[in-house]
Amino acid sequence: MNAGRRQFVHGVPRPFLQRTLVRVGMAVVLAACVVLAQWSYWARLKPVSQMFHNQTLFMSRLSEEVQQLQWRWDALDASKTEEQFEQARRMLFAGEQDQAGWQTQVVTQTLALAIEARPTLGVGESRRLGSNSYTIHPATVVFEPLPAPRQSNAPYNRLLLSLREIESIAKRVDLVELSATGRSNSLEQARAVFHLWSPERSAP
Amino acid sequence: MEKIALCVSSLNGQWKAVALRRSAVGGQWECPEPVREFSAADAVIRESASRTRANGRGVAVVLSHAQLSHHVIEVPPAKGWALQQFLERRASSLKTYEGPAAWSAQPALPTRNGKSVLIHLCPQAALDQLASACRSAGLELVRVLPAPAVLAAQLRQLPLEKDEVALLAAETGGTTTVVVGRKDGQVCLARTILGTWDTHPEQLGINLARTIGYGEQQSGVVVRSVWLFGATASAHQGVMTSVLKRPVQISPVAPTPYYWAEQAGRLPAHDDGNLLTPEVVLAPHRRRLLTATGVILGLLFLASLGAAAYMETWRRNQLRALESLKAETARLQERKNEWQARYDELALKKDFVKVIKEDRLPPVAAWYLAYMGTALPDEMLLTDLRVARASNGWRVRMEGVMQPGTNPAVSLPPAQVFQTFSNRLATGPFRVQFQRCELGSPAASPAPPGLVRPRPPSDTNHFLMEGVMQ
Repeated sequence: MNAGRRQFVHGVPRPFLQRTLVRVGMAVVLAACVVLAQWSYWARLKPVSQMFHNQTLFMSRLSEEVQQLQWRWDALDASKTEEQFEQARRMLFAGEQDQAGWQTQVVTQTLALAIEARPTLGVGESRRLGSNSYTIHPATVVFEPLPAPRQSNAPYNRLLLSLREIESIAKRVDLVELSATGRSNSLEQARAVFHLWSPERSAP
Repeated sequence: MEKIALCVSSLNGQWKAVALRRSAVGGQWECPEPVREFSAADAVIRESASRTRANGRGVAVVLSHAQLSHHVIEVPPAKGWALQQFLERRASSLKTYEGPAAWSAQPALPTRNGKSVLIHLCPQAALDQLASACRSAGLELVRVLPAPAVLAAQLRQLPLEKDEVALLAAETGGTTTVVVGRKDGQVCLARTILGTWDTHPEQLGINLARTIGYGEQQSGVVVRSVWLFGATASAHQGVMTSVLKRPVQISPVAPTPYYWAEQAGRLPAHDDGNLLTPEVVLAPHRRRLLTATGVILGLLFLASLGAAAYMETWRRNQLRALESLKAETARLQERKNEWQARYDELALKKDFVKVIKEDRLPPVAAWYLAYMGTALPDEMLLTDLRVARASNGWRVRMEGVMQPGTNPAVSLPPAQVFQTFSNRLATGPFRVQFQRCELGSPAASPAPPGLVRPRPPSDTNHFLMEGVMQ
């Protein structure tokens, strides 16, 4: 049997209540310690560590990619391409003035070969090739041989020479159609359709 | 609980102390002055410890006091807190003084009505004063036993029959403490009688006889023997026998001068009637445990806080590092984009160069016209030639007439010449695949716009050839 004097709170001895409260308090403090440590690690540190790790990996990969891009770069090839690009760019017709100049040049060059050329420029048509877009203007040229001195070439040969002269102009001009009519030993008339290439606005 | 080192008997002012060393009695000391109040007992306790050379902090006291009373009460069939509450209420109702009462209970013989307990009552103030005096002396009071509890334990040492009920009386500092009980230590009555057999033997004998009668009436038992315990008990055995009219014997337990003090330390702890509650007894131990636990918890909490602070610092460092990593990543991304743009631009330019320079359409029509100059036989006159770009290659259309050759003697038939010419074109450098190849009167096709087509000179030798060059 136990000794007294005990005070009771709602039928529970006060010492027991005090001990229980103290133990509960200790358990709460212990739980708080564990929860604090766990929360600090799992809820605070771990996500940031994970982000840091992911960012490090991403940066490492990115750095490697940049290095590879640097190593792969061939300056000589780039320079050569740049040069070729400039040449190719100059081959395109810059505008109507350039096209008019070409027509004049055609007329002049064929006239020197006793061929009358009558160029007519058509409506341009947009075309996308590869990564670039171009405007292609059809130019129809009608050739008619002019009377020439005896010792000069036949009209047929003069037409061939004229076509070669036109081809030799440093412009992107495609001969897409050629019609010729003639009689015995004589070329009466020829008609050629050329495609004149111009850059579109978005082209380099 | 503190180990008991100093044992004290305080029997109505008579103060005796012994030191216990590993269950053996050490130094002994008796206070020459009576100690009736405990309010200034710290000096006596300090001197007791000093004189007996007690080696420890625990103090046990056997108490006999004017305000210490003993009651056998019937209890309901309850246990635990319910019984404790019942006893608390009974103790409050039984006390005869102001202020709270400390109480302890021991199992008692069942009454006619049922279960009962022996309850010892003492003013709480007296116990508090005693405990305070011990603390002042640097000791801890761990046990306060009522004198009847010691006597009840002595019942076990008497040569009694099983279920034999006996009365045991002992002289306790000017009073006589009496218990009535069995050999198993359970009592049915305990009381303290003023006076001793040394001072008023007849009066004591009458009181003992009344006590026996009261006990037998209350508990329904028969007291068969009376036992006396004390240094001078044997001298009064005859008087008591004559007054009580029943055999009176002397307890076989040796009545040493410090018996009561020794019993304070030697009595078994189970149901010993200790007036101190377990909470009070274990309080120092609990305080130490609580302190240790508190320190450990505090350290744990500090460690937890430290760990949290460390992790938080680490996290902030990582966040800072992350920011710089992000800036570095953005810089790298920008460089990558720049490089990618350079590569894209280069690819675009290469594509442009390829389209403009390398994919340039060859002047096939002009070449074909030139080829006609050498491939066309003399026997054939070409009046109309058309070469046009188509989706699957070049379309070719040739129209003309057959004519006599320059040397009519070796000239071949027109059909053979035509056939030879068409074969040459099909197998020649242009590999023309003819879809229409006619010699005769072909239907005239419309001239292209802007071109004046000459009328064929003869209708019979017309030829028309249409095909495709890949």
